[in-house]
Amino acid sequence: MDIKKILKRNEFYVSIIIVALALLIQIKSGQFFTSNNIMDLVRSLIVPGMMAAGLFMVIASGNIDVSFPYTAMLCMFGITKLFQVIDYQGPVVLGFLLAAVIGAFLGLINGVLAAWLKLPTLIITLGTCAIYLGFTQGVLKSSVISVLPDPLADMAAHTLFTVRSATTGLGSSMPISIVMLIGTLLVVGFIMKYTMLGRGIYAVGGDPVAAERVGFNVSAIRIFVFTFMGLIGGVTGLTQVTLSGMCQINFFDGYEMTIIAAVVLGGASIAGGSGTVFGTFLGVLLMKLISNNLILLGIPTNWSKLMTGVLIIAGVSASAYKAVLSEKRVSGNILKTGEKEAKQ
Amino acid sequence: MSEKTKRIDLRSYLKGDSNNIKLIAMLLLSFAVLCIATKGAFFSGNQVVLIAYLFPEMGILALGMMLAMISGGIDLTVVAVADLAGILSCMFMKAIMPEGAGLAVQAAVLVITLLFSMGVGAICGIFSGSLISRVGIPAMVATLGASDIILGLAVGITNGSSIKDLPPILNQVVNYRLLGFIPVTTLVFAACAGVVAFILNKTALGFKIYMIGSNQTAARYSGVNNAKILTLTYMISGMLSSISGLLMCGHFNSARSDFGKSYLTPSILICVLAGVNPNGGKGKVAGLVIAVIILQTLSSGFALFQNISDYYKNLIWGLVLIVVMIINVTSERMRAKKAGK
Amino acid sequence: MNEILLQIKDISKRFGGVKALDEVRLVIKKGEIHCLVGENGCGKSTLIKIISGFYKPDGGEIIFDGKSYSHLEINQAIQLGIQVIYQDMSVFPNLTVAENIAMNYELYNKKKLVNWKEVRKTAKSALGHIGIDLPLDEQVGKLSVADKQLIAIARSILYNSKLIIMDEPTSALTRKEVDKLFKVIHQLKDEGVSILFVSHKLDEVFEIADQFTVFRNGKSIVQADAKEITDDQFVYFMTGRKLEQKPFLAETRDDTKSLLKVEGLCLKNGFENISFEIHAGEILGITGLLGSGRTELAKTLFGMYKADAGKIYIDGKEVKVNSPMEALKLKIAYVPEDRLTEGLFLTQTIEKNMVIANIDKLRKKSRVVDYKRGYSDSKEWVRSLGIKLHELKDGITTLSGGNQQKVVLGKWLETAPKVLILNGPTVGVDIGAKYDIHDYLRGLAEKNDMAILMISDDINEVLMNCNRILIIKSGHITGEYKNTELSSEKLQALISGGEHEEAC
Repeated sequence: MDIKKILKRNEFYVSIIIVALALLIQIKSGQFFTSNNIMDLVRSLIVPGMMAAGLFMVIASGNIDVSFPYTAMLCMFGITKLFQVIDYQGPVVLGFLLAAVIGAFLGLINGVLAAWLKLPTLIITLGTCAIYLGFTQGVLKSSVISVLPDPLADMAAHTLFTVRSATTGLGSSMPISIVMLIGTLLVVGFIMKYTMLGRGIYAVGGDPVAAERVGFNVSAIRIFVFTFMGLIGGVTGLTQVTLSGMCQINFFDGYEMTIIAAVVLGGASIAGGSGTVFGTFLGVLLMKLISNNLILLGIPTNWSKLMTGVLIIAGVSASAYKAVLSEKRVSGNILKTGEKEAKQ
Repeated sequence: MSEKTKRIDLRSYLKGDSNNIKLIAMLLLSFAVLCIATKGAFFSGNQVVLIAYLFPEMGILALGMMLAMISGGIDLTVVAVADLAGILSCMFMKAIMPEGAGLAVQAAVLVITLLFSMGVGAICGIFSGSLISRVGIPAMVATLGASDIILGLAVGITNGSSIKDLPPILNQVVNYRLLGFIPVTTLVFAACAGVVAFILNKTALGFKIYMIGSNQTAARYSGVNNAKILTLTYMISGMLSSISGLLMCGHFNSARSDFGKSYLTPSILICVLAGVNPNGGKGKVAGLVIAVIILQTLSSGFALFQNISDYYKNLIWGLVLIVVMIINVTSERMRAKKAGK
Repeated sequence: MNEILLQIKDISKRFGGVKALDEVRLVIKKGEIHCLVGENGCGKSTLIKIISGFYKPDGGEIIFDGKSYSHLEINQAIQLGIQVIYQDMSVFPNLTVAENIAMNYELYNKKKLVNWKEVRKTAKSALGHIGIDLPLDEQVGKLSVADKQLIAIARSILYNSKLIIMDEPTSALTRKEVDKLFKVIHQLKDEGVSILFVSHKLDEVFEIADQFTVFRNGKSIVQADAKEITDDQFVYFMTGRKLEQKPFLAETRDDTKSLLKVEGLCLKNGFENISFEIHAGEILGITGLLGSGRTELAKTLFGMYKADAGKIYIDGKEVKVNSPMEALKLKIAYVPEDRLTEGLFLTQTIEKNMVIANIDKLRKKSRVVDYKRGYSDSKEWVRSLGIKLHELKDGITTLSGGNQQKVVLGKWLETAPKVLILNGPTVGVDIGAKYDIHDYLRGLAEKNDMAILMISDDINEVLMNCNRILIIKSGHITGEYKNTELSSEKLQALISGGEHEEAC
């Protein structure tokens, strides 16, 4: 009974693909299951993992946000620059708090516009993303900052532990920010599964009118998911600075597509109302597994964009086509209602 | 749901003319402001010709975007298609252009290249259109994925570098000015706009695009072949994008996989500005033409101010998009309220 | 218990130019079963949405439990103890049965966290309450319409509410399930809960009501004790006229001429072995509960579903209908059940709504659409169907429900169909337009060249306008009757189960 349930879940299939792919890479290159490679993979999951968790909530509520990479850019550059200008020496936490507040505010703008205008959120957030990008580039005059202010540089240098490859002598270390990824995943998981807010997000994504009728505050839920997404965008912006050891906003160029693809691959329907945070994480893992190991797989990096596209389409095709087919069939069984009646 | 839609009095909503008047007023206003700000320098013949030369690249992309939006979807592949078609047709043209060909041969090659380019665009459009209408993927995700695939091909083929040393005829034709002042690009845009307007207003295909955008289910129940019409819609959009891609190549005299990158947001902005309903079923070519000109005027205007960086363009376009949406929605709601009383 | 619980005083509501409610009044006492009746589109649903806080009224007063309100907010209404079972169920297809049922309870108690054990417990007890067994972990989207309706009922009776509004709660239920529901309603009444029961099925109203209120065209006509009234008076209150329709007898019928013949039609999960024939001059009626397969049958004939077995003949020639496009070519027309989502293009003009099915035929040789001809064709239908409008270029939403339905009908008649399938032809249509449509259909039938199939759950409509009536239940045809041999009570009983069961 339970096995049947597991077989029906999208997560199960994504997991199988991930394991199969890992084995394939191992067989082809013999370098997948090295501590360095695994560590690099985990490292590369931190920022996209957090973003995907936030975006998963937005998508589950039946909306979409393409502005969060630009929120991240704004916070990334804005705060690093601020630290540099005032020669800040205090705790780095303050920077993250500031990033969270600014990010949440930018997200709030998205949320309020979405709840108020009731237009497709893709178009609304396309508008705000241009504003956020223009603000970062124009008003803040963004540039590459390669020497980080001390608090950020300290955090970048601080790691939980380091592994060293016996053969090459190269070291890979586990950054502190992995804690943030785990924290975000747990928080989002908890909200979605164990709070009425999370159930409301699913309900709004499933049927907004019905959600309003049973007494959910649909506007508030919309505003919440966008604000939360903005908050994560802000925090991840600064996190990326500590991960790459420099501040370069180009990093997030086109990031929205990758994250959307990851969430959709993880089993969340773009129409809203479905998906899990675990599935979303698997989606990110799959994406990163492929993009990190393209070379090990023997694919030139220039083709990575094509791979992303193929992944998105392949990931959504099955469920989309299933829906098309089911429209041609009767859902439920009308004939059976008679049998049930007869038995009673 | 029914009552909610009922609340909006659609009679006035449907009269697109008022929107066009609003747009023309906006155009005149932005001209006037820019003229005053630049102490008349803006209103020179040169400037107008420059605007006329530049807007078609974006305008043709916006035409394709508009078709997709009227049908109730969105086409995020326009830029990718323009880039891929540009790259492939430049490679194609270089390959088939005979050494030292005469003008007639060159012109013939150009025409064949144009057809080739439109063929590439059509295939891309049929691909994303089929994903939407036959596989059933929502337009946004389908064109997002298709865009990555198409652009991925472009990057993969060129390794991210540009294709140079094109036969000069392309650049010459694109930069040619009829009678000394009418840019060829403007004429190409006019032709595209004319064809799209004809399709939308005069043909059964256009009629069905509007109806599908208005209510896809009801269209199916009225015997409309939704899959076919939607595939055609995205095919036409792809063909338009490819023409724009070729114009870009002529403009820069080279082909690259990131020429059109900055055009995606503006092309959606143009549609919203033009009064195309993001939910589908509404939109006119006339409005779009004015909206394109407004946007290019603003953008050329900014270029005149040396001290304002190019990056502000994004900021301002984003702001305009949001403000226009706010104005459209609030004015519509006020009208609906008035009609209720 | 004679205290007044809810008093509606002179409530009005407009939508655009249409007055949906015009100073209506309604009084419900504590522990009373109050029936609100009226034709479709008389304003019942609008009033419910005002009481539940979904709409703001334009004027008037709501007095609940002695306190006066100009309007209610949704959450306020819930906190006051008002629960609604909506006609469209309003369940969440993406959530499980347990979650759907427990949701109202949790929201009422302003829970912040979800305790899954408690959710299951709540759901189980609610289902036990109405004596129904459903799989708690199944996604609601996969259940039948009847099951969804039971869930909608179960979740609203979970806790001590003061007023439960039930908007057509029995449209998909069999007689046995209706009996169970009525038992629950009486039980609730004994606990002091008031019930506002909205229905257009007279037998149900007579069976359960203490008091009733009749609405007609957005006005409250009468409020009275259920015992003091007869059937005929009731119909008069509802329709505003004595029933003057004569049953359709198909006097011109020609049994040798078969227009549509269906043989052994089967659709997986939908229906089995459906056979019938429509002769010239007939109107054939098919009636059954919501979710009985009646709509699936209509959709299959129109090509929306592909039949798994069976044959369809038009004019004696066998045809295959694989898609609506093919249906259109074969001259099969379908006036759908849900006008707003399946029939109309709400953001478009009346004219465009009229020409859509004919657009390919309006093309000239140059492939350009001849909109002028479309305009004059549409004008012709406006005249012959008596559509009341200002201008053809106006938006379709400026029309009343009845005129909108005539537009849909006109759209299909312009295609000169050989088979006309009508699914719920007068849902949400005012009484005048309803009779217009009926008269028009009878006239069409008498021309002896169009097969007319009327599918409806409006008992009187079927009885009056169809000379033969098929009853469909759980995807099987369970009986065929002449309209002259049935009364409305008998037909109602046949539809919702009971006596004909030995026939299957």
